[in-house]
Amino acid sequence: MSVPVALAMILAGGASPELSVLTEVRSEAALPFGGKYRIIDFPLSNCVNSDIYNVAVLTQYQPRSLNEHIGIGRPWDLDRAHGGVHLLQPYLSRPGETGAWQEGTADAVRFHLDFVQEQSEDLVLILAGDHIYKMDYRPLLRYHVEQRADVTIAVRSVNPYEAHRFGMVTADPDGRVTQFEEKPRRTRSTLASMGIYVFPRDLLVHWLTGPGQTHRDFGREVIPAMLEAGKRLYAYTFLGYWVDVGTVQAYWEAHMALLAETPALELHDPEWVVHTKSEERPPVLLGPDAHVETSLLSDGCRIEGTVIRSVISPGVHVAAGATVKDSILLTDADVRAGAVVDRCIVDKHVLIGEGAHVGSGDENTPNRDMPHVLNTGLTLVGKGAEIPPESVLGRNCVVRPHVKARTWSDRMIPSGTTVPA
Amino acid sequence: MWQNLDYVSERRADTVMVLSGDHIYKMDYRPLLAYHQEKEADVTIAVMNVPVEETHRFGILTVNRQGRVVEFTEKPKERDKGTLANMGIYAFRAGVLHECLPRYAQQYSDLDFGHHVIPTMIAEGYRLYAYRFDGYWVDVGTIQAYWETSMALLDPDSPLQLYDRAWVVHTRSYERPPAKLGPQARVARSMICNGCIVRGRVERSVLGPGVYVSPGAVVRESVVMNDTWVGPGAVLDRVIVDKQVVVGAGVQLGCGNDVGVPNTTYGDHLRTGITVVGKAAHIPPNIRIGRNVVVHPHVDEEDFVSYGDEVPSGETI
Repeated sequence: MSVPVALAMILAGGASPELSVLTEVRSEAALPFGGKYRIIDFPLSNCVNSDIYNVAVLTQYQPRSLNEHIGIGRPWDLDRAHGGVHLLQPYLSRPGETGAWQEGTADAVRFHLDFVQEQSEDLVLILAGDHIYKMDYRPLLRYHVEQRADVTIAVRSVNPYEAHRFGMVTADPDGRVTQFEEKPRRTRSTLASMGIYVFPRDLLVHWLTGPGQTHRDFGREVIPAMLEAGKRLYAYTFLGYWVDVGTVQAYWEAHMALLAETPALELHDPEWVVHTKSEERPPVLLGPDAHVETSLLSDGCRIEGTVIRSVISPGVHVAAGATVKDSILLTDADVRAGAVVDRCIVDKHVLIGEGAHVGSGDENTPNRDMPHVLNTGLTLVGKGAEIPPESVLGRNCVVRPHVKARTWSDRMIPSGTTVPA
Repeated sequence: MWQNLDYVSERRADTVMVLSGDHIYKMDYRPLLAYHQEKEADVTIAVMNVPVEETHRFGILTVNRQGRVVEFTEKPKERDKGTLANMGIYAFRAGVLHECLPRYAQQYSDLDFGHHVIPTMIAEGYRLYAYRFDGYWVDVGTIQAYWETSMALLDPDSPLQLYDRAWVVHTRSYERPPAKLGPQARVARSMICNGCIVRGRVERSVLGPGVYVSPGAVVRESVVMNDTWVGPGAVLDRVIVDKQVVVGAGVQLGCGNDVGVPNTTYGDHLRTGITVVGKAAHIPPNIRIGRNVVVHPHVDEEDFVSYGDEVPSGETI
């Protein structure tokens, strides 16, 4: 059987407050990952590696980073005359219409149904822009057609303690979905929806304009209602690595997992290249006293000090005598001589002054402004911030983006503190 | 250039720059062109000062006080011609190319800028000017120069300044993941590209994209190109290894102290101790390979059989 042809719609508009200062300046889909990538690179690359060359990216929250990154889609071979990548922005459809801001995944798609109807593909593949995984969508599309399904949902098994974070699916032995529970407190199901759906185009259009026209969200409303209406919903089980880095801790853990000798997410796989927009940068330069172990180093970085178990983005400079441990350093961060960065996520263009110690001590007081977000000992430094020389920051601290060194009133920042802009 | 003059006339440009494709330097051509215009020159030649003992390797320009070229001597034996060396970078008034090249081509079948065009133009009274360039410039025309130029990149104050964001050197890059250094990796004073996986030791070396250095392997003072695989326990010392080479486990590549034994086939070029391995060659496990050895491209494991477990210095495979 030949592979059915699908239009992919990547939902990349959601705000992600759980990621604190990292998503203050960009959408989660545009968040850097794995040194040189952004999260959107994974679904985009999955599409082209699965021969899907008609891809819409639906943006809303802080879309500028994403727009600049995707451009006309050249790194993914999506700059083409037919199909290619379409960046779909929110817009006001009629003068005076209120509430044009999209309020969920189904709402976002409904906004662009006119676009969907113009496309020639019979199937629509709905994807999330903020998941990290490598997946060939072709078997999923084939399965959908074979089962003569109305909707196919990609699922993966999760531990029972994680079930409350996901839409949980129960399926009969043939794979037909019998129950769908959105973020249940208790469930016997272990199959979590990955937020990946295959719809026949006409059914999607019909449902979102007809019976489900008030539905805002696929997981919360559309899928349960379709099940209720007796539609043929099927679950397709995916066995590979998949992660939704929706929290600071998950983001950090996913990076640390890349450092394993045989990581679950293998980036060095010539058969499944993850494409991204790379700036032209020289090779990595390691100085005479550099010491680097168990780390990823992106091009353009210069390491003269010590880097251990860390992921380093392009253009980062670690000066002689500085130590970076168990951390993520994003593009062009500059760690000056003698500084120590321990269990931190440091955003782009951050300057860490000489002898500063970021992530210090054993005191694990949760962050006072967002105790539910930062309570695992990770310290965050926002984009473009400056850490003054010889200052000491504890755990679970947040430095707001663009804080200048001269505005710091105190150089001893205890655990759990937010340094305001 | 003479054979492509019709292309030049189609361009409608009034100045033609002639550059070499095999020099390594960063140069803003705009001041040179401005100088060319200011002097109303027919040709402006970029020159650099070289030590007097090296003048015999270059075309040497002798200039008057206005910078006008009065004499050009290709590789002079005497040391009285000055120290301004021709860099092979020329700005020509387009009309001059049309006037001169067809005539000179009648005289010389192997028409060369340095040997024929420039000296004849001086003799015919054209206005030739020398433009001084003070930056870093290398013609990596020998194995030794290529190796030295690569090693110079590792100096934190490297004259080439690849890390200058204001003068980016562009290239076609394949999409490769960040370089990965494993828990046993020890890398110092080196340059490594995207897609490398280093699990052994790398010292004073340049690794191209996708190079794999196995645990226990050592790469020292070497240049290793794209996707070469270095097996466990292999030791590379002062070697230049081309793309897609397989260096078997336990191989010693570039070993022994007899660095002075020149290569028996290419003795002119390989006499400084550097061993060179051609593209996609396969080197069988546990063999020892000496200095100044050349392994030709696509050589296979079987090609080493007659050597047993040691290839002496100066051999060519």
